[in-house]
Amino acid sequence: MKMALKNMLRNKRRSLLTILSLFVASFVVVALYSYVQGFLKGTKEVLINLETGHITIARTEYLRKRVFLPVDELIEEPSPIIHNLLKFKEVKLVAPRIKFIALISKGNTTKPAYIMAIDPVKEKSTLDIRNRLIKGSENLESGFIIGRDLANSLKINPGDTLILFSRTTLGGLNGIKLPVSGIANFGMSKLNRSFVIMSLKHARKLLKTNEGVSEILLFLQSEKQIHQLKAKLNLPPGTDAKSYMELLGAFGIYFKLAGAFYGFIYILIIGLATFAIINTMTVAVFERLREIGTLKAIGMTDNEVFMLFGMEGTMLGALGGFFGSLLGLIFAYGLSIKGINFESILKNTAFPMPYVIRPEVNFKVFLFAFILTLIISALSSVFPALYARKLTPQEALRQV
Amino acid sequence: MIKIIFLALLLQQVRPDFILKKLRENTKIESIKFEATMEIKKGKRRLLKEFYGYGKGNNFLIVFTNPEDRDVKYLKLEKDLYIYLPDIDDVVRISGDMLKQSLMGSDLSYEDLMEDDPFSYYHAKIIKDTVLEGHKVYILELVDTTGNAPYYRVKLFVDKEKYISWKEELFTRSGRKIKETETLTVSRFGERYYITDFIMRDLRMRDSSTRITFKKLQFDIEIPESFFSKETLYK
Repeated sequence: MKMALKNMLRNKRRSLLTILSLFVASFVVVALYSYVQGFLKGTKEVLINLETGHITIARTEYLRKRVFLPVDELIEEPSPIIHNLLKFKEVKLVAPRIKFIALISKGNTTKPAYIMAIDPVKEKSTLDIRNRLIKGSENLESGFIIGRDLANSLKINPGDTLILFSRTTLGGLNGIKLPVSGIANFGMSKLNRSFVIMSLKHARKLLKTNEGVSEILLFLQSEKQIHQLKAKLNLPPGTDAKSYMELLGAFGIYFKLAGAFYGFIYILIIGLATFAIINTMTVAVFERLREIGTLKAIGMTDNEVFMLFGMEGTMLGALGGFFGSLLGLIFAYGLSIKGINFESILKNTAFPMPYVIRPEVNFKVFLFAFILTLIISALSSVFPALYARKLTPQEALRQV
Repeated sequence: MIKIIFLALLLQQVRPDFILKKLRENTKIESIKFEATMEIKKGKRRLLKEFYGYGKGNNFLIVFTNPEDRDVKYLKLEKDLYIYLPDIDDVVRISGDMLKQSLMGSDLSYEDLMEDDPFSYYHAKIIKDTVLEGHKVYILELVDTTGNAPYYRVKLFVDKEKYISWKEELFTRSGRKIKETETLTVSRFGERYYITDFIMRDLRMRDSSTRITFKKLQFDIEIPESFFSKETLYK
């Protein structure tokens, strides 16, 4: 090991360049992994909290037409179902919601709005309204919360009274007047432009339903319990349960594939960097043919020569990998404090991605990148080391 | 050969502008009073709405009478549409892009009600004359030349004698057919032929149709101007 270290230091510039390529590769892997995980986790969290929960229970016909948010497919008596769901220990929160499209009007301006009616007491944590508020209060008892861009287009402020009108569950047209309690930045362009949160009480008055809800969302203790719980649910006929992966369609598939896809990218990056080690070690073997011949002539065994070159490559990889991964982790940590704000790029798109991405700081990623670099460095040193091992002293000395 | 030349000459004699003029004569009204039903079908669901109304020039007033929508009123004043909501005794104005929204969940949009002269956006040409379910018709293709038409291309199947359209197909710029109407009944009122029963289908919605049937119709009668004011809505 001492000798390998000495050899490394003999050609400092070449060793440094090799270490640097491994350093950059492992840095990129850790930083990219942290960013991608932060993006996937952030998007998934928003979609689960706002759209689907871990499991959504609704009428089968509603689920089939869910994209249109039909108001004539409500669960009219949700109480027995909710009561039954609360018995499961896996369930952290049962959140009944009504979602529908309404028109919202102030003076001569009318805009479409995506209304989500919730139980304000139960859903404090899921929607995190308090932290999203820009103006006004989070009071849903007497008013509603509206997305920032929608509020701007209607030129309204907290305290203003608006008219909301929609089709009722009976197919008629109805309207209610409600004051704006607060204006919120929901951190997603699609939501800021159309989102309105109100209490179930007001939505039921607007839709003319007594107890109806369009969806019952289940938030579980752990995501791993979804399939196990789904199998245990005993729902009334005409109702069905879907996991968030089933409801998100293409997004669900994207979440599934993203891990594998980016995993491949990480290996590719490290793989490319390992060419530097192969190159460095092969050149080292050919430069040191006389030395190999002499060492073998004075009694160094084939295995010792193999170990010498193998060790040198592994040490170069270990140094680059360790410091690159460490810096990647520190970099991700630094960015995660405030997050990376993509609002200027995303504000005019309908892509359901949060404005602020916070890279995920995960020590396991550091270990993964470091160990991956180490293994690949060791493996890529094998070929030149094997070549050195095979050489007889005569051959080595003859080639000088 | 002679027959083909003769037919071609005959087709050329009837200019598309003439057909549109005749269509306008049937649809253009000084004033109108009507009672009608609107039947909306969505899969197995069926909703029946009843309403009456008045029209004068480019303005109209519609009052719903079915229990679910009782006293909901629609007032069109030139380019603006106002909706009176009886539960809150207040009026909202619909304009611009909002007019593309569905009218009470039906296959019609507010925009479909709003056009004073729906043919004014288009350049027309006759593409064929044929027989549609026993009616001799010209097939007229209208293409938007203004960029403001609600539908880029319209295909009309216009009756050769009565100058009403038995069928309309409405297309987007990309060529996708998004709506179609089918005329079920045409009635004669003096010199005028008027469609009194038709179905519209929004093809973007699965298994959906809206049928409008006029039960009573009176043309060119005296209607006070005061009917067409926002104040009327609150009464």
